[in-house]
Amino acid sequence: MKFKPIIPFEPMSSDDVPQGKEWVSQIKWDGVRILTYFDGIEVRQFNRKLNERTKHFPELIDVNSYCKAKSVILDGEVIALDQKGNPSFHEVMRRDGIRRMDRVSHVMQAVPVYYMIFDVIFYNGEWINNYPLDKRLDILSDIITPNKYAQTVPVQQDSRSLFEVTKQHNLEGIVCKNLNSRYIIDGKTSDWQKVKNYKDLIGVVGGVTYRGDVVNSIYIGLYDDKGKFWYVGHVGTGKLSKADWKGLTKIIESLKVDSNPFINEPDKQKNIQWLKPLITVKVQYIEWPEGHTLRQPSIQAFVNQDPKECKLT
Amino acid sequence: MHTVWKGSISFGLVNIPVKLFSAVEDKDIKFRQLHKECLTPIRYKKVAENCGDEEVKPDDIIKVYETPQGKYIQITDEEINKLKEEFELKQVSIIDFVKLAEIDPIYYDKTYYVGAESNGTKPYALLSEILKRTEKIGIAKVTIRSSERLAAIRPHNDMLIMETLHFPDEVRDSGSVPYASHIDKSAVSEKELQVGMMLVDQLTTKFEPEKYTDTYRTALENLIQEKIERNLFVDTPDKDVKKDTSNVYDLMAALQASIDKTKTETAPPKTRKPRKKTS
Repeated sequence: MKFKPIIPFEPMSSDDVPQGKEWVSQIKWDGVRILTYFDGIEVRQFNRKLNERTKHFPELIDVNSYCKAKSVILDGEVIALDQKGNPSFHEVMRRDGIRRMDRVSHVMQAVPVYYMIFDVIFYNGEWINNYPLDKRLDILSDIITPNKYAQTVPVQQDSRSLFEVTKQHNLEGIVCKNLNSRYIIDGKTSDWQKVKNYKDLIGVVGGVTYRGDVVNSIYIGLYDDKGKFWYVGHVGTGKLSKADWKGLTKIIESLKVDSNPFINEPDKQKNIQWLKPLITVKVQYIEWPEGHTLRQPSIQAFVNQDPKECKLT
Repeated sequence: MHTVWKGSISFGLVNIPVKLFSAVEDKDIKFRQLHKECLTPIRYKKVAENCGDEEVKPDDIIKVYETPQGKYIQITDEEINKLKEEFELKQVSIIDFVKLAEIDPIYYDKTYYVGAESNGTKPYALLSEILKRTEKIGIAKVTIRSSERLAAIRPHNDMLIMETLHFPDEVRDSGSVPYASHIDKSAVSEKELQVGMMLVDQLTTKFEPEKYTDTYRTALENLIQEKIERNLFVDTPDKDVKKDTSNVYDLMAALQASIDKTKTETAPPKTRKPRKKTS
């Protein structure tokens, strides 16, 4: 049997850690959500937008090296680490964003990835998404034997402590889950709640400034429902390397325009080179006070997304 | 796969939302250049003919068209963008249906897979099935990356494929190839023809593209891979810091240590795995 890829269950955002015996929590790994489909014969991987990723992570394709199920659908996050050993979205994008499949083996050596598995939706010929989380986690811990590349995400009962720990280690946050909850395909309910240490958004680059002949900051905007493009902040710090900035400088050559693409005027700053809003970027920030620009934004990585989907929410 | 174009195909009253994906990828190995002396990358520098060696900044460059008389006409980005918006129809209208064999392969340019959007799988299947049963392909006009192209839409398994086609005026006249007018088939004897055709018969097989690979590229890849394995890296001055051996085990162990510490500070220890509890 061939699986049709599903849209995974998504957590709602929450400011507080829910309390009660029925709640457990797990670290929210900052990577790319990848579901693994093994029908007993063939293994395929898809992301949450149903784009196939089977060829991107060869180290994860041998499912039977870490999972003893005869057939299975696993849900997890593929992550990569930076040089200090911390999860880095920027690093994992070097694997996920690859366009030329003949380069996979080279990049695989430079950027190892890890599969942090947190759920099982199908097991030995049966859909188990309607089993309570409690039971699914039992099955998961039973069938997974962690190896160098695949791990199960530990479950914690003391959600507040775990949240404290993610703060200490500067991780994205935690996902709190109700032990009695079902896995709702293409669903988003408060049975899963994400509590984050910092916020992020995917925005569109509408302008840049240069230092010398290399770009050193970007001006970011989001679309409203009427399709108007609003400036929300500019940022020059983050995860981009010198080579990344140089690469960006080249790419934007063909996107230059003479007039401001934003509906509003960015903070007074001369010498902005306006761009056709096409490049999308993930930006982390501390706060976004109403009527102001992003506070302490920092670039995570360039991402592949339809610019029109980058909306003010 | 990366979407190169998003729009819709229309024929008759049916409108099919689609995305295009490149069907082929370039596998050429790209080289970079380093200066032999200092081992840093070579780059291009834009200079103006009259202004010495000083590099011209992007802001100080304008785009012009050169006429055959050597005169220049300036075209601004705004003017180009305006035209692009005006003519970049996000719709492919099928204007004719023809037989595949009627198109000389000389017209084929690029091949794209046509992907259906979730709300358009039914009309997509309809068009694909119609083309299959009638053994026809659709001819359409489409604008990709701001240039207008002729395109052929044909079925492939259960999918649709779009081939962009060259316009007839882009195909050069074969008569201007040297000796084109000297090719004289009356100089060939019937015997030579029979022998040649017999040879063709003997060599005739089924087309199995898997049989043919780019042997030069494979050899070059092997050479590169072998040098990587032997650590024969060029000793460049500002090389990246080597990846250290940090792995996910270290990180998870560090996190677990923090969790244990936080717990002993705040609360009596609890079982780590909650699923053994009775519920």
